[in-house]
Amino acid sequence: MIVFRDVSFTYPGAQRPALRRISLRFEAGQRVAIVGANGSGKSTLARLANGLLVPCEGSVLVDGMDTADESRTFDIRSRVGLVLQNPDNQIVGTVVEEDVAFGPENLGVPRDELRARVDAAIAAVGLTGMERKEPHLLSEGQKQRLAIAGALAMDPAYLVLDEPTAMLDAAGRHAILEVLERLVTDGHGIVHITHDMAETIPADRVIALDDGKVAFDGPVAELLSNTHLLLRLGLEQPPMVVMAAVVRANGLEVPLAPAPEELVEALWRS
Amino acid sequence: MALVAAEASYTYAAGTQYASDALSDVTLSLEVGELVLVVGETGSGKSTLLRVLAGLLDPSSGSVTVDGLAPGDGAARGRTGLVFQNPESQFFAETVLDDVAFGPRNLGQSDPPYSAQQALRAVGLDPDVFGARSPFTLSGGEARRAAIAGVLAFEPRYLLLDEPTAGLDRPSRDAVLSVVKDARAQAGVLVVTHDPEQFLQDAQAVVVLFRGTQVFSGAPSGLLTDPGPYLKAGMQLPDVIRAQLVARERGAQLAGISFDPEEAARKLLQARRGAR
Repeated sequence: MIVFRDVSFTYPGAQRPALRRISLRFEAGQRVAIVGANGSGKSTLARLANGLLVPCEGSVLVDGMDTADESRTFDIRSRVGLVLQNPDNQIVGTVVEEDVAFGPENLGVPRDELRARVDAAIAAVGLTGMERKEPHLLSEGQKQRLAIAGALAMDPAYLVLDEPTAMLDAAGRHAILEVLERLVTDGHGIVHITHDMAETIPADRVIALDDGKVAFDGPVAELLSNTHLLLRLGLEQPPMVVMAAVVRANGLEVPLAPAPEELVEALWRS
Repeated sequence: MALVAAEASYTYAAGTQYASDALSDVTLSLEVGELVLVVGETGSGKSTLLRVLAGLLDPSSGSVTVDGLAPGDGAARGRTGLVFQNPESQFFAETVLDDVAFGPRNLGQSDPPYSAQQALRAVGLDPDVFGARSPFTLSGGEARRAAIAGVLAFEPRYLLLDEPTAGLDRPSRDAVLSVVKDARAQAGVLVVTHDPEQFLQDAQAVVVLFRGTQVFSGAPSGLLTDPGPYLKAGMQLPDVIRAQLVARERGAQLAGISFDPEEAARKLLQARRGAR
């Protein structure tokens, strides 16, 4: 479990804190979405979760290890993988498999196990067959999947992704969401920061941040149907949720966020 | 008067063994007041087309003209303004106002600071508040708008934007979208994007690129009648549109396709009633 206990964080020289007295828990096997306007503290939270930043007040515990304890930094970073928005800033290797091997190799993982881990990580993100390809020849979406593979090769229990789809096209976004689905099934804890409300739909739970504080923490359906809160937080109701609400107001039964086919089916069946 | 590409092609490293055709026979025209979208997935030739239109690359065959002039012609200078992807990474001046004034100053225009102030206002940034600040202290959305102001400041007739909303959150994206809309009062705007959903509703024309060739060109409504080329180019139709297409396949009589989810839902309900 990743536990935030009364965490506050202020960047050096900043007037206002980025996060104020946040208390949260992230469990292995759970898929959590984090939303909020720019500047609400989402990225700071991501960096605190794997010890890239250390709280000014309060503490962050990763499976019992305090991120402020420098002797545990290695263990913490391999428990919590971090994937950032821009894939171009996260690639170090000259070919795909070398890039994926970088992390575990640094940890001193034995050669046989290293091979197995790299192959498994590459397979998990659907890049099998591209092991010897140079990263700059990949599409942006493939590069982002490569970045995820690099984190997976460390064998983390949790993966924190900071707007991993923001710079990708529709196909790239789609592929990333499929990878996340698979990782949850495999038992990873996923913390997915996003500004696309539609991407929160498959999450087990959604947290909305507002000005460094937790404004909502609960089921996705509850947030998505609370139009007042969404408006106040500067968040958008996904289009299919809007369509479904209109249909429901006419007395028909439809899920909260149906697929287009599902919505039409519901309309024509009843 | 228009920015016109006529069967423009571009081959990188032409004449060498590394030659690769990035763009084949693309034809389009952009007039003042119009919004034209160029869509396609990564590697489809969008950025090459933009560079060819801006005169940064000379077409290998075919032509590009700006109001009938070659882009390299002195008289065409400043008529086309190109805003690159992530333009905020190219700030260099000490203040926002100086950065935005660079274009008009460089083109020898009469009052660069005044033009810069006007451009900042046009993108919704009060020059009295933002003008004296360092561009490096702006938020993501403010920085993007300031960078667009840097091109608007020299008053191009044709504004070319490469992925203007990529990586922005909703409020910042909305702000950029309204800048794009407003810019059409003085300019023709061409937006290159792999995320066309947010622009489709306002566009007069869409050009779909697939591996360097133009697989669709026409009004957005044409895409909705036959989305084949659009889907082939790796684009996904917005869910709201897909719902209406699925309903039509099931025999629903829809009067036009709506982009707005509430309106689309009402149309579906109506069509359903009509069907009984």
